[in-house]
Amino acid sequence: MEFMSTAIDIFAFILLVYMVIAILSYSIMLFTAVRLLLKKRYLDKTALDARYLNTPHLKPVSVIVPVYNEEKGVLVSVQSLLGLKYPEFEVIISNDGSNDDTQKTLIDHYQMTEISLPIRQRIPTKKPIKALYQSNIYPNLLLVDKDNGGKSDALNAGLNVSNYPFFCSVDGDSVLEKTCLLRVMEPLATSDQVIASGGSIRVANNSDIQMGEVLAVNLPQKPFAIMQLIEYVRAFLMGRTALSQYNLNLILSGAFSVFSKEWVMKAGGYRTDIVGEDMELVVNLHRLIKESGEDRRIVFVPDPVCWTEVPETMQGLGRQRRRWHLGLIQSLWKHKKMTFNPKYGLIGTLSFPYFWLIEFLGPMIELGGYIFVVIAFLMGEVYFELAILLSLLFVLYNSIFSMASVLLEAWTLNRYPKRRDLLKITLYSLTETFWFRPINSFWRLQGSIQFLTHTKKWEKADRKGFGTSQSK
Amino acid sequence: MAQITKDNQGKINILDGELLPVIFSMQTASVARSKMTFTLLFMSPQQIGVADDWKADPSTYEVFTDFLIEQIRDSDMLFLFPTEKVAVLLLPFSGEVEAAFAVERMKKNYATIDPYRHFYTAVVEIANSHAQYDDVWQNGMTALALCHSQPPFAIEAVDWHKEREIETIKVSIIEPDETTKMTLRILLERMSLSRFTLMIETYHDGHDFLTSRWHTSGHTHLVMMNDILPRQNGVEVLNELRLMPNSDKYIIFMMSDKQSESNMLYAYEKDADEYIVKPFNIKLLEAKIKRVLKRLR
Amino acid sequence: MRGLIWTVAGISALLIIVLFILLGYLLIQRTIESRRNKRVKQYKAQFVEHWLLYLLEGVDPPEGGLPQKREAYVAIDDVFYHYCFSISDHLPRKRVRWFVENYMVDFYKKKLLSSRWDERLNALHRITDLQLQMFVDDVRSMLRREDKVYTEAEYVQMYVIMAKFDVYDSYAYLQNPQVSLNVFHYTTILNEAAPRIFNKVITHFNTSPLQLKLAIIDVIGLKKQVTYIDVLETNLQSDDEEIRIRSLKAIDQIGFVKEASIYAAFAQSDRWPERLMAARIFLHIPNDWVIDALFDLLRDPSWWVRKRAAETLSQKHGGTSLLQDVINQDTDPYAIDQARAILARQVETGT
Repeated sequence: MEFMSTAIDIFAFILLVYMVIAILSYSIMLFTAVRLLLKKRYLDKTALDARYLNTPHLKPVSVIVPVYNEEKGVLVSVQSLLGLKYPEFEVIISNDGSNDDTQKTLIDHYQMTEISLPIRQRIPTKKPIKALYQSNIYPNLLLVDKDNGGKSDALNAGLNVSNYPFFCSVDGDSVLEKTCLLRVMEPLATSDQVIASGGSIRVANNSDIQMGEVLAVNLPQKPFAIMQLIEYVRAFLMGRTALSQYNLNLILSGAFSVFSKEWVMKAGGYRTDIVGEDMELVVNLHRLIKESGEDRRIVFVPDPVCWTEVPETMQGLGRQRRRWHLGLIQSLWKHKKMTFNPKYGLIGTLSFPYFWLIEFLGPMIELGGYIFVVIAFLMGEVYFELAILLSLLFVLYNSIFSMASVLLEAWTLNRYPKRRDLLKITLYSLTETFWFRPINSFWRLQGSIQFLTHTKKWEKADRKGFGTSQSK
Repeated sequence: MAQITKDNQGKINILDGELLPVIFSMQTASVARSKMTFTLLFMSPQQIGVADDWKADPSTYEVFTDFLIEQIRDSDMLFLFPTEKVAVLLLPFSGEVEAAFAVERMKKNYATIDPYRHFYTAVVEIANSHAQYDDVWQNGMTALALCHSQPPFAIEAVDWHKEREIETIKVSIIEPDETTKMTLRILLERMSLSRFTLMIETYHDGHDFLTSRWHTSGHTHLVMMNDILPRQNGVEVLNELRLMPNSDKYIIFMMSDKQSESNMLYAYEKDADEYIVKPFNIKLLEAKIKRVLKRLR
Repeated sequence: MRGLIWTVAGISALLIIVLFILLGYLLIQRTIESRRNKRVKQYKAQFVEHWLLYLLEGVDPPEGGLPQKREAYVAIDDVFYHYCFSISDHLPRKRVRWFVENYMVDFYKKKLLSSRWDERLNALHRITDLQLQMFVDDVRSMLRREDKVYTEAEYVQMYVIMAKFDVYDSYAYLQNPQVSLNVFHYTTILNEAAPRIFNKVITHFNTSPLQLKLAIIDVIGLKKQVTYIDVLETNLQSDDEEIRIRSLKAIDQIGFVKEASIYAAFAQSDRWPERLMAARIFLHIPNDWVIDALFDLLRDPSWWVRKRAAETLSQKHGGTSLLQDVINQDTDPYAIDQARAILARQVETGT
């Protein structure tokens, strides 16, 4: 009994310390983001876009879209890409051996014919390219046909085909707003120091999207999708904006980010032996930057928005989250030597410990916390006060930050302009602590267990083939 | 009974005069569609020194028609009116100027084969579809009569049917921005065009335009669109219009916010008539529109 | 423990209350904003035709179409902006200026002097886009203020305005900017600069900071300014590799070569970007020795140089047969590969 209570005390202490650290770092991030975003609230972005469009800086970009069994969503996505406002770009769809009609749909709709260009294999791919097609309507639309080798392999194949010095990775089920590429390229185009840049991802479920154009933004109907909407707003607006300010960001979503090809080639392209290839690439780039001693940055830009469908069922969402978490841990583990290593600057001393603590250990501690609270309430008296304190901290740590992020979004970017919608998501954000967060932590814990037990079984997400890219 | 005249040296474009009204209405209908004028030559043979037709040698008419049969091109049509001693030559796709050359050529040739005879000609150019056959006949014969007070080989021109048709041209402005759309609309409405009336419609995006019935009619159709449009893109609209069977009727002006050589080249490759980069010069744009419309003739 | 709980509870409650107040504020603000937008829209719909007729043909807009309320200013500003974005004619542009001068100076001036960074930048952009020269003096006095430091973006835009509207001393600002500017900033400024200012900047080339030098070279190439080709050719002798490469690039963009012999040396350079640029420039040189030099570059250790050499060869007179010869007779596998690749591409595009 004595031992039990000491153990509980220690655990409670760890919990409290974790909470304090987490709440402190979230607070810092929130304030950084608020400061940055409020500053440019009234900026006339249309005028700015038009100016950039006519500056000589915008270099040509290859947009690479890996697809696997996406016959339903691929056309809308490609339509949105072809409608991008950008001086010069090409769209390369890399078909990773789909066994549905993805390829036929594209070939028919865009009148594609096979061409025989010699391809320079700068990054070795697991599966060779079988054929290359070009559209007769859009000469800048190419389709790569290859055998199934995984998302990274498809991206690498696209990289080998690409002709331009920058490339943009886009998921096959995402829809980009017209000004997206322009805005995400802006940091790379106006500074030699920036080698990669990523944009925001938003939840598109239930929005009215026609022929690649977002006509009306609606809130999703399923609670799970609404919670993800809030989660994305929080992760992108609060998390990445702040981290990026100090060049500490370890993740750019593969669903929508641009890179300097030169640097990605130096990094050897996308790793095929890892689940979260997008995070892996960014971590790899950070490492290269520090090892080469050059002053380069990886940035996040909040306002170019890429719309994507998120899983609405528990099953689908769980699968996705386990995958993401597994990918995250794999990347952290692979580059573990960077942790606390002053050679890697703030990335090593701040980012890595932060990710290990909040992202890796976080779910375990949180889940422990939830269990603790439930048990403490059941046991009555003894730990009652501690349980109340913890519950309050949970509310502070989850719900309040989520609510603040949602309001920050409404205040600045304002992508959900209906008043009713704003009210609804604000109220939803307050419930996060009580159901979504524990479930999510549970899935993430499963991901950690998969990593620890070396489960090689790669899960496939619902209708997405690859699963959407890492988003948090 | 109308019939193909015998003894026509194997040519089938020698027709009985009774057929002229029928062919005439077919021709005027095609004027409306193709905007191509045609010309009728009323010709009557004369004997030198004999002023009145009825006093002339009866073989005069026969000799003349034989001559004409030899002279005409395969695309021309010859109608014979033996009672009136008149031959009517229909020159499709020709105006007064071309007709004058033809007459000049025949004059030279006729003088060499028969120094004692000549002919008078009345030239009637028809450039619009509302010309009535009876009026044309009347005017032709009157002009022919006027020749009699003039020297041999005299030519009289009838100007009454030369006025060109006012053509209706459809214009579609496909542009997402309201101000630009309205600017273009005002510019086009205020453009002074003598032979055209413009029917202007505006569209917000490519899909709206392509799904409307507006562009399917036979009118010549000027399409002015931005290269980047919501939903279906300008390039896609261009491609779709150019794949249509009667794609010639579309005059396509692509407009772009950005200077991009490759896009421009590609648009021309896909048969856009013009590629205009914003900001554009109004006068230049007007001149370009006028030029393509002029070419329709 | 109790105390701690109450503190945390208090903080949480306070935060939630603050956030709800913020929510209320946002909801009200949104209502006001949507009403205002609606009024702007209505106003615009009512008068846009009048304004456009004024701009296009000089017809005075009716009394109601002159700005009196905030919505009216916003609506007119928007229409003028989109108009200037599409129309380049001199006279209608002048009418924009007249109108602003008569009715809207205060509207823009207020923005220009705003304490908000974003509003100021918006105003600077509008002044540039609508070519509102009457604000040049305001911008100049902003630049001269010693008590205020602006952001980098604002300085760049202020310099753009000075250079674009041909303010004589603007080149001095470029030589000694108030914030450190990189090549991109300078290129933006020079790209819009009036010819006189550009000329002035070039005459001070040698005393310019490196970033400005690079930008000057870039802009000469971008604008294909043949008159300044001497500047570029002089810079080919520079000790700075970056300057040499950019100059070569600009000369290639202009596509005109005055003295062919100076480029032969670059094909022998030990820096591959210089050899690459040489391979490009050889396209504009008609002399025979160029063909031999290109054949050498076809065996270059760098893939990019080989590729470019093959491309240039293929665009030369009789180039296709030259490449065919390489495939048939050459012993260098890299050269053969490149020749094949280029010929295959030619078949593909039908050129």
